[in-house]
Amino acid sequence: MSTGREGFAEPHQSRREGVPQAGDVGKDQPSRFSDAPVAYIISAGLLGSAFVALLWVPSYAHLTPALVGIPFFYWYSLLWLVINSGCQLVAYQLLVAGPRRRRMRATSGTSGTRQPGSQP
Amino acid sequence: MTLDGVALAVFITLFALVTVIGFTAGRWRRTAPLNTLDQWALGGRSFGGFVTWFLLGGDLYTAYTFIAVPGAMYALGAVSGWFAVAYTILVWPIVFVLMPRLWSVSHKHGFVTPADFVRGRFGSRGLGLAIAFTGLLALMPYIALQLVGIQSVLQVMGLGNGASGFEQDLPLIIAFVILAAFTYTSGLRAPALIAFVKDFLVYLVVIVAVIYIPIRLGGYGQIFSAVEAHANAAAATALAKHTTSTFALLPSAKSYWAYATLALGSAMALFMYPHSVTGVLASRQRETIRRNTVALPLYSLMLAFIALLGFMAIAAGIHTTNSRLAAPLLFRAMFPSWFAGVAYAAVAIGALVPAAIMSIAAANLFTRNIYREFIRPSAKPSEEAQVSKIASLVVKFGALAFVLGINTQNAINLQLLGGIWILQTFPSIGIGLFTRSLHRWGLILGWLAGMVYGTYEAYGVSTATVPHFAGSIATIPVIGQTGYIALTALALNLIVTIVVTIILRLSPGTVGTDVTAPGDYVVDLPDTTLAPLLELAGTEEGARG
Repeated sequence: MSTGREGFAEPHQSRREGVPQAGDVGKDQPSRFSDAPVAYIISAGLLGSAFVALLWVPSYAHLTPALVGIPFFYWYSLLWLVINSGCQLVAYQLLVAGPRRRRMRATSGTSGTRQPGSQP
Repeated sequence: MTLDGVALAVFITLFALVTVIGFTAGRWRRTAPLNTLDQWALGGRSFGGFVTWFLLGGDLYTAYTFIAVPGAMYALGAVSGWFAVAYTILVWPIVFVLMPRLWSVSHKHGFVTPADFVRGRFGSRGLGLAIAFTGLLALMPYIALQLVGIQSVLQVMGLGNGASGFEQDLPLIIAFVILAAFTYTSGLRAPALIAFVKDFLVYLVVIVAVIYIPIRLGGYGQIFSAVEAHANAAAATALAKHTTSTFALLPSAKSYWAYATLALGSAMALFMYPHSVTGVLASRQRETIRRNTVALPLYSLMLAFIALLGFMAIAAGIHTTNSRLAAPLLFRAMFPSWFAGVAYAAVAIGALVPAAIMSIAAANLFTRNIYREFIRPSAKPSEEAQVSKIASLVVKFGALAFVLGINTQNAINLQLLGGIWILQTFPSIGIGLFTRSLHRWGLILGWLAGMVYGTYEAYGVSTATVPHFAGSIATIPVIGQTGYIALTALALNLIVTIVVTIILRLSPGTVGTDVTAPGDYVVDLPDTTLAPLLELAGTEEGARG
């Protein structure tokens, strides 16, 4: 991969957060914390919940209540597998899919999709 | 064990099929010759959501899943076995947070390995070398674990029980030569394509196993009753001998810390491995990874069911002193020969895919971060690809020697041992993705402290039969509980890193140059500077074709 090495020589200046840059329009720029603090805080709580639940071992290292003969410890772990997957789905909607839909609505009819050849 | 002809015939047929796929995979989705690292090692960075899901799954669910975890459940129970379920749940939120940033910055700057990123981020060749060295070291026992997985099914099929040492190892060596050859010719496309076959076989075997075996054993209630009786008997025997039982149905007050630290440490370690990063970087778009983390827990569910095979082996009255044979012996006892053959093939192919990806990742590390950085800085892309191919062979044969040379009964420990080392790269990679406020020399010294402490502690773990490296948990200083050595070493690593950082902040001239900009961590495909990729940029759904 020869082209990528250009990055090492490039001088850089930090791009200012939230300020649209030339060429930014219409691409999937994921949202940043400052754009949607509530979404970030809710997502952090959702993603963190599985850590609290599963690492707090004394809270679930019990035999009962058993579910169809499976001790609590085992089925409760699997329950968190499902809950965590749901949490990630909600976080994905909040942080990625939702903002993308809003951007699409905001830019539809103005700039449209970028042409492949338009790279600087 | 006696030779099972039918099972062996089925096994060889499926293995031959995979071999053909492996050799023809080089032509799949090919847009350029395979003589650059991007093409050989990252499949042209062109994989969409569907392929990435298979590739990451194929990457992460390995012989660890099929051999080591059921073996640990069979021999030791909840703490050393079931923690893997908590671990494979917790890994996905971590991926969700870290990996999109790594994808973006890697695409922007053409990073292929985690060491590339660290070198660019902190402007330190030494730190890059430390990260590359750790990756190579940690991958060796992990690749060896895959070989142990293949060896286990071959052994249960009745192969490799010959009198001489060479006769015993010949089938394993043949399987391995095939793996090495198709990885050499086809690169990452081979395991990516074989992952489809692997997943089909694995799902088939797992679904049949978790429905059919419990029916034969009288249901999950019966299985857990049998395990409870087994645990009580083990405790009674141990009491009579004035020792404590090593088998546990539930974590006890003494092992809460061990369970939690094994789960957390393993989860934090997994995506520091170079091969996991390879799987991430081969995807075509930033959000492919994040969206996949919603569906990837399906693999975790599968892992949980496979873990329970260890308990089913107890309930089925399987007796072996070699715990890594528990799952294959259960298949042999429960399934008709032809389906046992399918199950063995699923395990063996399930080990081949990650072994191929791991050896490609290890080879990349060597080429990019050691060969080009320190030996031949002027290497051309085609030369890099050639060196990587050869390095992938060397790494694989190194791992093979590892398996043939050491005691591999406690197979899960091979993975945990790698975890101790690779977790010491977390401050540079995981924290480095968000901030470069840690000083590069602090990171090097912290890494050194963590590596030395972790290795020393692991070396000191012994059992009656194994003098060194017998396990990966030890007493945590200060807290006084037993826990996973990897996390204790990481804590020491962070303390050293932070203290050195605070001291060196007094002389700001020593901070290296950062080639990355804050915006680089959030770019998605249309903003990358990789011109050839623009031709591949289409809708996500296009990847399914």
